[in-house]
Amino acid sequence: MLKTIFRNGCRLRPTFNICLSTSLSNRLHTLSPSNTYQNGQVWPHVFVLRRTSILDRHIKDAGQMRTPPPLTPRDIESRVLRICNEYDKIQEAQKNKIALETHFMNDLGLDSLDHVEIIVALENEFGFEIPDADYDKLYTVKAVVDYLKNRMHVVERPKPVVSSASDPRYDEHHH
Amino acid sequence: MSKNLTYFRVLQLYKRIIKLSHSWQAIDHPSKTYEEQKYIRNEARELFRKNKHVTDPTEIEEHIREGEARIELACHYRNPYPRLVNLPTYSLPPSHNRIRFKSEYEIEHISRPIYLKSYEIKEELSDSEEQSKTNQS
Repeated sequence: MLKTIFRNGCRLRPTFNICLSTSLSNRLHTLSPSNTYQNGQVWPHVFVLRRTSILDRHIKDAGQMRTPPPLTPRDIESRVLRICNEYDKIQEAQKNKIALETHFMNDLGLDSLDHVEIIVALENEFGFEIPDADYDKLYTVKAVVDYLKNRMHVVERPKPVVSSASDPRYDEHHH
Repeated sequence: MSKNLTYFRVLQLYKRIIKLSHSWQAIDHPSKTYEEQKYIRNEARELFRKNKHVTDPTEIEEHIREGEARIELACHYRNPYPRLVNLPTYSLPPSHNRIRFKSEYEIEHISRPIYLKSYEIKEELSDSEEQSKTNQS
């Protein structure tokens, strides 16, 4: 954080490198507009504007823990059904009738190569590799959903995630 | 279909080709990336289905080799289309006033590269025969 301030601050006044570094390191714990004014720089207001914007961004980034929202079983079902519907070999009439109990080969008339393609699309969607040995367990939509639930450890009612994210309601004074 | 080792090898090969088609980037013609991806996927579907009925284990092995050769060539030259071949050396083209013996056909089949195994050899008609056919139709 200090490095970006050095870089951006030094770009403004290249000849005053030395006094910039000493003043900032002395006043590290109390960086505020009033302090920088006392350093006696020629363009204090420009330096202050850049400092507040950089510091604010870094404080906000450090506070927010960007975790994805927790998965529910209904999420997984809807994603699996969406991918099955997007597969181009299935006829239009059968597309909206795909339910949990549809069997890929018997009901939708696909063969083993299509099955491989569907599972590759699921791997891309959920982001992890499904080993070859598990392919012959995944012949119905229900089996796929159960397998994914086990792999991704999805619980019925997920507990709320406790993170150290700064509350946006109380963030107003930074702006 | 019995779930023996070759069955799984074939499915693994198909999976490799499908994954290649997802991550393919065309270097020579960047605007044709989507076309080439579609080409790879459709070629795989067609050729795998065409050879579905093959039961002889040596033939299946050769087809697996063909698939792997196509993958390696496509990755190396960044070009998914196969390089077509013409007649082998020291052979004459078929013409209507010359008998082509069986050995000539065999030599032509043997000298075909492995990556073109699933493609048929097209019999070229000579110009006069083609003209007469187009005149009749």
